[in-house]
Amino acid sequence: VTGLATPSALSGDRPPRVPGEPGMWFVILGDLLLFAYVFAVFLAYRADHSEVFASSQRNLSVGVGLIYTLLLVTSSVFIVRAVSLMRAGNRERAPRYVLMAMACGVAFAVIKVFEYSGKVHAGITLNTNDFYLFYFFLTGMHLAHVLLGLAILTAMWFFARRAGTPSLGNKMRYAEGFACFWHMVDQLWLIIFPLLYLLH
Amino acid sequence: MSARSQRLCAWCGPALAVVFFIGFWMIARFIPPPSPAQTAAETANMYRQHGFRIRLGMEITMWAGVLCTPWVIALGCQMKRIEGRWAPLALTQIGLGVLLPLEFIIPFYFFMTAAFRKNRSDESIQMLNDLGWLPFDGLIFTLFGQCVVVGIAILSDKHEKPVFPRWAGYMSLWCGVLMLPPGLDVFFIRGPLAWNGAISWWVLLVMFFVWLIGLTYVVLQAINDHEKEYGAEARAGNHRSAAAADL
Repeated sequence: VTGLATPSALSGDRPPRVPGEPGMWFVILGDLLLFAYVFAVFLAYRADHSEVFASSQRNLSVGVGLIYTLLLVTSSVFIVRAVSLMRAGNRERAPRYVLMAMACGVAFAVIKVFEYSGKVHAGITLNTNDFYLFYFFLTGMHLAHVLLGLAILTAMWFFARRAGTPSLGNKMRYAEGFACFWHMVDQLWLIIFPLLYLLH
Repeated sequence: MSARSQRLCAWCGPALAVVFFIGFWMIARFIPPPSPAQTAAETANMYRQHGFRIRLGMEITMWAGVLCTPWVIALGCQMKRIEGRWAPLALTQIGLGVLLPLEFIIPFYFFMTAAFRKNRSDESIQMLNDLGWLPFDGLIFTLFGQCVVVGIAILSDKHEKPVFPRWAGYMSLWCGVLMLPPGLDVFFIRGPLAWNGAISWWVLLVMFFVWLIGLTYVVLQAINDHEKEYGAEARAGNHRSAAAADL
């Protein structure tokens, strides 16, 4: 018996429960499914145009890609901290951690805008070749998720300020759901980064 | 209220799907769509050779557009229970929803016109083909609005027993977002975002029917609940108040 799925982990002190609202997982799992499909389409196109993909990929900066990765992973850690502080009713520190996570998200979006404008100034657009089509489409779709995530974290900040008070009500569940969404945004980047920037 | 007529309207949704696939896929063989990258001569040849099949398929698929309207109304009637007498979201949904049949019917007339005369020039046929496919795949704007309005209405339901389950609201929003990429089809002659592309065409096709069937399921459930509530109120002798609540 491994330590992971011992009976106590499954049927112990806490009843098993889905974090956040169950319905929200429709969006998270659905989005993961969609991205998985787009990744598959990307790999199929890549197999057909391997030279174009390889030569275009060399123009992407792995360093910038690493900065994005660090920003998003760090922001996810802040959100984990914020949720546990909210559970503990700490309305002093929980909103601060939400804000720090949001700052990472904003930094991500700002760098992205610079990266895009650099590409456009170099004459590279969606129509340059299939690699750049996927580059702009995948990262653009992901950026849209980051922006939506930032809007959601703004709501979470308001909830975090009510942590430990009765006015929070069932909003704790919403906050958990928001955190899960933010983790998904982070996790998607962890696949997009190697796929676009690193895969040889 | 008549639960039977509401159910009939809701079942027009799955019926729409069946009629669409018979006309558009089995008869006109427009699934998968012809590539926008093919030459004018290739496109013209397709319409000259298969002109009858294409016209017949479109004639049949028109009826799918007609079946859309009762389904939109059934959804709107149940959405109205969320909001009560003044129901801006339900009415917006109906308003956007009744545009959908037109977005079917107009492109289909371009396809039928392309097949109408065999002696048309290749370029004219190609233009009619473009005029049909670009909006048929790319006209997602009202549909997106509809998805968002349905999502907002469902998630804003404050009733103790909500009219629709909350997952349906999330589903509607999610489907709406996934149906956006085809709006870019005017920028791409080939690749995954062209009108026959892996992302714009196939994701739209699947998501539209996931949305349609998913909402039909929850609308039928909501009609059952509505019938029970209404029956209970009527039996309690509050027939007049039940009727007033209907307004």
